[in-house]
Amino acid sequence: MIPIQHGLLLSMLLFFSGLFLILTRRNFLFILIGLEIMNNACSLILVFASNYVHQLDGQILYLLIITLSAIESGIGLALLIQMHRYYKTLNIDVLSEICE
Amino acid sequence: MELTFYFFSAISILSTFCIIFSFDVMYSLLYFLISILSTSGVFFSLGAFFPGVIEVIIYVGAIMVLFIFTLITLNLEKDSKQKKRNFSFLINWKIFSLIFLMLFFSFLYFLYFFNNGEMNFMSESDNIRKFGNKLLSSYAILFEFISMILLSGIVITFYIGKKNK
Amino acid sequence: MNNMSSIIIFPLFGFFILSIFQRKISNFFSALIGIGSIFFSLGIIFHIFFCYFNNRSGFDFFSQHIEIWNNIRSLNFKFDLLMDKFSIFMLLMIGLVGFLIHVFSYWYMKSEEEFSTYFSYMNLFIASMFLFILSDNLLLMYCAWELVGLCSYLLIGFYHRKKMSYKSAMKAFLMTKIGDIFFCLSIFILYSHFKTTNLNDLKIFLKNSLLAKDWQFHFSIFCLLVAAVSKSAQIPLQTWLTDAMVGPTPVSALIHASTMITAGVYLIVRTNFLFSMSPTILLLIGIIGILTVLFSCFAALFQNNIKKILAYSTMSQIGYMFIAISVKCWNAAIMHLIIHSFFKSLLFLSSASIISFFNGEENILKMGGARKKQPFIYFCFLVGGASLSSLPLITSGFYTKGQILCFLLENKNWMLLFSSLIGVLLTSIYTFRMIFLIFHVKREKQKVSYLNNSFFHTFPLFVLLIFSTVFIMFFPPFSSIFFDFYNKNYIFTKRNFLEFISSMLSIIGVLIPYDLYVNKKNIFYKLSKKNIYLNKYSFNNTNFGFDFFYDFIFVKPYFFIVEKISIDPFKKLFSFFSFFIIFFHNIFLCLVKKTLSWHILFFVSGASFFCLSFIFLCYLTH
Repeated sequence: MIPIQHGLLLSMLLFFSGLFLILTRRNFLFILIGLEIMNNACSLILVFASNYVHQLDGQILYLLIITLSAIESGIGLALLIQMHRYYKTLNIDVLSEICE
Repeated sequence: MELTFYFFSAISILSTFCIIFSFDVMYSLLYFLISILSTSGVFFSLGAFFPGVIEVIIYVGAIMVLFIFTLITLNLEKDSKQKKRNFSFLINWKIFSLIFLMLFFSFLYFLYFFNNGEMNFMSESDNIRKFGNKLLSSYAILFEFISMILLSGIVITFYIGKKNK
Repeated sequence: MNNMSSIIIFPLFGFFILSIFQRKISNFFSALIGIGSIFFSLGIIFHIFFCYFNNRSGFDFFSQHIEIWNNIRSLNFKFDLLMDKFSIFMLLMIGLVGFLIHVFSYWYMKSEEEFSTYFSYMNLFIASMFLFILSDNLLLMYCAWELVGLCSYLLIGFYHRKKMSYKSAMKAFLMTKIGDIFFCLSIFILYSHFKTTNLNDLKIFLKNSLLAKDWQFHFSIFCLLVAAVSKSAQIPLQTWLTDAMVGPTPVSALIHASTMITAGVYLIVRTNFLFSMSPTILLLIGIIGILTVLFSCFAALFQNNIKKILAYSTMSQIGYMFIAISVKCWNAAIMHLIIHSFFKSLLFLSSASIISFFNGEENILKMGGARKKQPFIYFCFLVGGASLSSLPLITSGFYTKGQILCFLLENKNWMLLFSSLIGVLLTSIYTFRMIFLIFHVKREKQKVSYLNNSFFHTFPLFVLLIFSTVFIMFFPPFSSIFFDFYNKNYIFTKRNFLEFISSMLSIIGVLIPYDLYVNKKNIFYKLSKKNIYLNKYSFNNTNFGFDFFYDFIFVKPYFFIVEKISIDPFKKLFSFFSFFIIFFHNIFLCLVKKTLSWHILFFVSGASFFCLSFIFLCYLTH
């Protein structure tokens, strides 16, 4: 008998730690890790919800999200390799063209 | 069941905080591994076996391996040694933390409303078979969609990762 | 007579072509378009002219309906053309002089960068001048009047890289704008009285009405007079003309000597039925004419810039036309106008050659001795000057000016006659002072550049040279000017006496500067040297205080008022708004200028704000 509040609190804490990681790091690799953590936290909620309503649809959506996060990390790492090839660094602010 | 849930969730939160406060890429990846494994433990504790297995297979087997491969090919040791061990609160850390904490506490406040639900151990033994039936019958289009997304992701990754002459 | 509109359309078409294909076509081709369009309309004018004089079937004028402008209830302005005796001679003069000056411009402007722009402006000017002459209602006339002023502004400021150039262009535009406003005012008054602006309708209405004592009617005539005065550079509003000489010299020849400057005279002649109803205004015209003649003659005596001397002489000749108008002899005014435009454009074109001969030097005290080096230009300038100072028998200016003097004698207007005779004397003095200083006096250390006598240079000068002499009587279109206007005289003995006096005066006027500047044995020679130095300190460059006067009366109070108005309380109100906007701008700018993590933070907080507010609303409704 776990109250659903606790499950949501867990996913929220994971989500915000991932967000904090994205916001405070300039390294592209850490940003990718943060994105993965956030994805993971979101997928947690789906599983909790499917458990809560006793239906399996949430787990199917979990499958979709985990596929998406795999693709996203693959594309992100490809971009990281290209960035390291051209700029010889992983600092994300090098790419910025808006700010001076 | 409650005990395992709280144990694994505590481990996952702790390891995620360790990612935040570690500045070495390799160590943070290891903490990420621990966090994912504990998350799959959370799934097992709730009786959702299939997501737990998938979590381990895809995150650990695929994504982590990808990360480590890129780390090996890029040889980032020089960069990581030169990095200072502090956060880059970019311009004004006061405004930054204010907004961040506001977000955090507003979410926390809204969690307060969901106080009447409960999660139980899904005790049915044929969960996985039901899952497979549902995925290939009523969610068949979604299944195909997932495969299409995977294909397009492969193509995009090839295109981007190609060495330009 | 149905092809009257094509006179206007050809130059307008040329203008459009040249302004669309600016700089994309070669100089020769743009000159071909510019000159050819004028040539075609000149041919049509000749055709119309012979038609006009061959079938005199009782009608004195022809009109052509083209287009109705607008038809709002009672407002019904028609786009009609009207041609009568005066306008056909004006058309002929403008077509001919415009054509010749276009040909000359090809020689003069060929090294300019904005060659096709120049020709497009000139074509627009010619088209709007034709429109001004042919239009049969005052409203259309006003539009053409504004167009002409615009072209003048553009062409004065043609060398727009020089500071002086655009300043004088603006000055000319503003000074003539005064007249435009008065013209507009007079159209309003006339329309409120007669409900029409058509000239023929006005003429018919005036025959039957008893408006002679209505002060509003007289005020409208006065407004027309102010418009004419400002455009023709007569005495209170004359200051822009001398400054307008900074433009290219062919422009000065076309616009500021022969055509646009005489538009004021033509306006009065065209509306002569209005002016003849008010004797006081006619008297005012006479006074303005006399003052202008005397003032500009004295000013030209002390002026050293060749183009400015010619500008002053233009003013004085137009003053003669005003004098002729004041005694109601419209024919003599138009006749003098036409002949004057020929010899004045001859003088300006030859002065253009002289200026380029002396490498852009415009001061006559630094010129000299050009007689043997450039005999053809000397001859042109001499004939033009002789015609200007009305030397007897051989020049055409003698007959037309004599005509005006005769009318003055006939009306027994002794004051006008006497001052006109003084004007004749002074005119020949300053003209021949200029000629002797340029061509006869020898100076050292001159840089001269010999001109290549191309066809485009000599042909216009040669034609204008013939038209400035008495030979003009033998050319068929112009012979009719003399025979139409000239043989109304019946007091032959008095006339001969008057002509003798005026010719004596002009010959004396030739001899005085000869003594002063050429005859070195004369005792006045030393005085003349002093005279040269005295000229440097003359108060001529400030337009005899007129500029100061206008500056003191209008410009300074204007700036004073502007300064007072500029610190109003409303401005602070508006500045508050602008401060408000700038404040928020600076706040939102920090969203833009920050790095990626700021973008993510604001993006996440914005999205979560909407989600949370949605959840909150759901919670409230339950």
